Amino acid sequence: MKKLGFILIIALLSFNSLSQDTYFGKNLTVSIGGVLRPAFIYQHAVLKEGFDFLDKDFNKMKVAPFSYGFMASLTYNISGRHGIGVDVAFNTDRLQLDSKIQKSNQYKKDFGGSNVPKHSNVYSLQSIKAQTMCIIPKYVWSIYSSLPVGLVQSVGIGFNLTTAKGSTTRFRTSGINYDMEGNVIDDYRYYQYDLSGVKVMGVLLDYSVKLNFPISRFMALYIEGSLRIQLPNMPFITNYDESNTDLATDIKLSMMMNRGTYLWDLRAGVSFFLF
Amino acid sequence: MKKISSIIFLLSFYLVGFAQIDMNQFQTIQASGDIPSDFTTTVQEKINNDHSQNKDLTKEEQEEFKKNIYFSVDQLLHSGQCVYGDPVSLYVQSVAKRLLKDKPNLFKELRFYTIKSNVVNAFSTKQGIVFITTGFIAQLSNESQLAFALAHEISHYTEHHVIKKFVWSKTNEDANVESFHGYSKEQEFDADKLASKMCLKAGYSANQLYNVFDVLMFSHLPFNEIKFDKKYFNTSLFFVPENEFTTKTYPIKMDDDWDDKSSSHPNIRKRKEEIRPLLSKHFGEGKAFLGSKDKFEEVRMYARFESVRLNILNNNMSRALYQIFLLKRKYPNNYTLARWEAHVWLGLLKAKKNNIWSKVTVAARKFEGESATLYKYIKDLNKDAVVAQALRTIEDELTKYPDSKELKLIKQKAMKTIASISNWSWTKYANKTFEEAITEQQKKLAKYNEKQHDILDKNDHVLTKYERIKGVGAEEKTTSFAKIDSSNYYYYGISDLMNDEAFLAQFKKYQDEYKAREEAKEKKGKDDNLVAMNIQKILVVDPFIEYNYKSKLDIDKLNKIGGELSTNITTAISKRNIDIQMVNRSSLVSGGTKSFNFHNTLISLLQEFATIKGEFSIVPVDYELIQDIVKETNTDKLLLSYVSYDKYGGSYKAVYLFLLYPFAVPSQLMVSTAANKTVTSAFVLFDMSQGKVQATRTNEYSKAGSKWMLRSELYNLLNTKIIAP
Repeated sequence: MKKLGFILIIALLSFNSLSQDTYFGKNLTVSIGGVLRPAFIYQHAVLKEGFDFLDKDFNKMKVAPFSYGFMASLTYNISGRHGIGVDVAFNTDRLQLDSKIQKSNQYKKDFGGSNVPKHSNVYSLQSIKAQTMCIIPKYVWSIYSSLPVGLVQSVGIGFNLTTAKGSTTRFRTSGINYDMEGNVIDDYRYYQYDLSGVKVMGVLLDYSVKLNFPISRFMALYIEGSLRIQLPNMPFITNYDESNTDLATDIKLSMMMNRGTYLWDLRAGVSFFLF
Repeated sequence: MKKISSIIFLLSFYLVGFAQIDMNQFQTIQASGDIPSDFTTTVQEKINNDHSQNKDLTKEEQEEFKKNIYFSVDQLLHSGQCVYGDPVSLYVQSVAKRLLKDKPNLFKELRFYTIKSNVVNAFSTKQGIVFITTGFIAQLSNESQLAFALAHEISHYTEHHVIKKFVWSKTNEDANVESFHGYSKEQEFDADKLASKMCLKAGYSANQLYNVFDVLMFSHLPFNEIKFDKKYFNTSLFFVPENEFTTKTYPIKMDDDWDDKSSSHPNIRKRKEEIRPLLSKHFGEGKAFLGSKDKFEEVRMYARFESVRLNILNNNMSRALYQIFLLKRKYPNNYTLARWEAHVWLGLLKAKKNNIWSKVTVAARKFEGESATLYKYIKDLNKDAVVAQALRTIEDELTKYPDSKELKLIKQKAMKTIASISNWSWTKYANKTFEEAITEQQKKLAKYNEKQHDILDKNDHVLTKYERIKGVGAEEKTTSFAKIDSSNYYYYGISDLMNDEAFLAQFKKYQDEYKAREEAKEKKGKDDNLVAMNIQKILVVDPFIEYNYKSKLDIDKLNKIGGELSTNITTAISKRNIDIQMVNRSSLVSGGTKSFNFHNTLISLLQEFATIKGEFSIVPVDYELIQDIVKETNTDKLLLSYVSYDKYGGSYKAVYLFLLYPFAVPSQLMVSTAANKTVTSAFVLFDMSQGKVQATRTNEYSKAGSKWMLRSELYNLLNTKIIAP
């Protein structure tokens, strides 16, 4: 009996059926859910980037271990196996940069033979609260014809916008001072800066695997794993004061670096199957 | 008057009781009478009722043994092949009764059921059921041989061989397969000896008992060995030149001493040698028949007819055709054989179209004996020949039986099959018969010769050798009569159809329809010609379930899954306001034998689809029985479901995804673990009136949420759009 069933399926597998392929014939899916981003995999890699540490004893760059957020997505199934969609995700991140960093600790001899720093703006950022919004148009496909439920994969290319929130403390040298022998004297001053509105935009690539467990005709629970790669060196969008260009650039760079630490994230939530 | 009417009344009972099946109306061997409890009791109930103990086995082992044995027998009982109370089973029972006339209690313990299969076999179970196949009955020469087979199986039962074999395998777990088979062979020798004694005691012929081994040895051959009539296909319209048939003879291989190391049964020579001393003392004694010879022959004829049906069902078309040839010698004007022959040719036609010729014909290495003449002829047929011969046969049968709906449908399907062959045209086919063509050719030849004479007369000139080589005067010869080639005989076989405007117009219509359908398929659901199926009621066969989570058989789990599955199917269908009629075990309890026969017919239909791979439109061999079901149940829609639960799917997917996207391992692992248990489901919706697969759905998904996926699959299946008729 079993054998017959099996043989029959094999025999009829190639039947070109004109049935609808998606879950209950529905084509539009809305998903909402939470996002959890563990950020530990590429933390080490970040340290190798173009920053040097002023304080060698304090060279740990801390990044929040998790970032939280929520997301929503809309998918339209073209067929049982292929679809298109868009993901919108909001994440509240805390990009903590507790180390003292300077743009460069390399010095050069000036015309008088004194040591002069190549760059004067040594600063430290205590932390940056930031909110990231991602919008990723996606192509969705499933190995078996059952979109949107079951094991669904997607690739997308989109952008994210990270906006700094609240204030941060920085200290920087007030200027270049020299001692009697003509060497540079560090003269730090503390400033409190409001960073609200600092924005960084970037392009990212996304690959996700999503599993929808239907719990009714109209609803499913899902879990999703997603791999995201931030494309670096993209032009910045900012409304920050022109007079503080250096600082803004640095903050943005820091923010970008931090975003890069989030290589993959986990999501879980509910999907609703509409029309 | 009163007396006469009572005699007629009594006589009518007598006639009913011993009525033969009209072979013109033969469909298949069907169950009859009250349904035995073996078929209605569940496996669990059977296990619970079995209080037998075996001191050599632990409690768990006994449990395992009972589970396996009852489950496998239950599968067989409901396989669609097993029948009870039919003429064959009843006859087998009557022979067993004669055999066990001294042991009435043992006879009462036993049940005899027939398995509709062309495999030559008989076997008994621990429960006291003796199964015998129709293939075996069809091959027998007399009652003694049947008695021997029955006695052999009864001996297995009385000697408790099944459980002994199980105990042996448990106590000799390290033993290799060969020693296990060695033990099994000892049991066979024992059973042979006991059977011989039992049969001799009952009065059966020792010689015939000894001959039963020949039945086994030549069981792969057709049930008779008759020279194929080379004029078999010839009619007034169709002519097959005799030289189309091979003159080569294919000797029958007689190897009774094959290597039986890997077999549970000893080879024929060993069995014969073992039994000969016992039987030879009684050679010349006993009777071949203790009961009526006519009855035996009648029952054997049912089995032989059944054998043809099974060959058609299993797509063994060449074999079926040879059997039809054999049976037609006794029944030259039999409707059943006529429609089956049409089925065979339709099957051959479809096989040619689907390129599965080797599956319907007999492989050259299997050519043996007289049947090889036909097998080789069929094997060598080309597409054009099959088209002609199929149409010829179907048309001829239809002329004989013009009211047969089945034959009409076969003709229609044959025409549609030809219409679906790409770029098919009738240009090669002649509108005159072979004979007419030959006559015409001869006339032309005569005319040509006359002309030649005229030329000679006029010019007084005989063509020189060189003029002949250069072809002077040969032009007319090549164009008018050199075309006839006897190996192209089939092009002249359907001249009546080639002259039939209605036939050609109908064919053109089918060809256009086919093209339109193909176009609609390409558009896939976006065509205005597609309409939703209008279904009022569906027949649902018990789902086929495979459960592969555990290595051991878990009957409770299977029952639970089966129950859930049935509920899901029922809910999904009734949500769409469609009536359901389940054909399952519970319907057997309420519906009895009628329901059982329904189930068997439907299983056969599914089997037929399963064998003809890639064909979604057939004329079922049980056409009339299926039409009866349609009439009885008031629906022509049949749903088959198959669900397999597998635990390997998830890990397989993890590996697959890892290979594709190694950089995304963490998320892959997470999702794959969640999707570890997978379910594969398949649903097939048949249209029984048209013999068509109307829609199919096959899918694989995670176990979590599978309930809803199953419902979705059914929803989509029932939402399938079909091409507007």
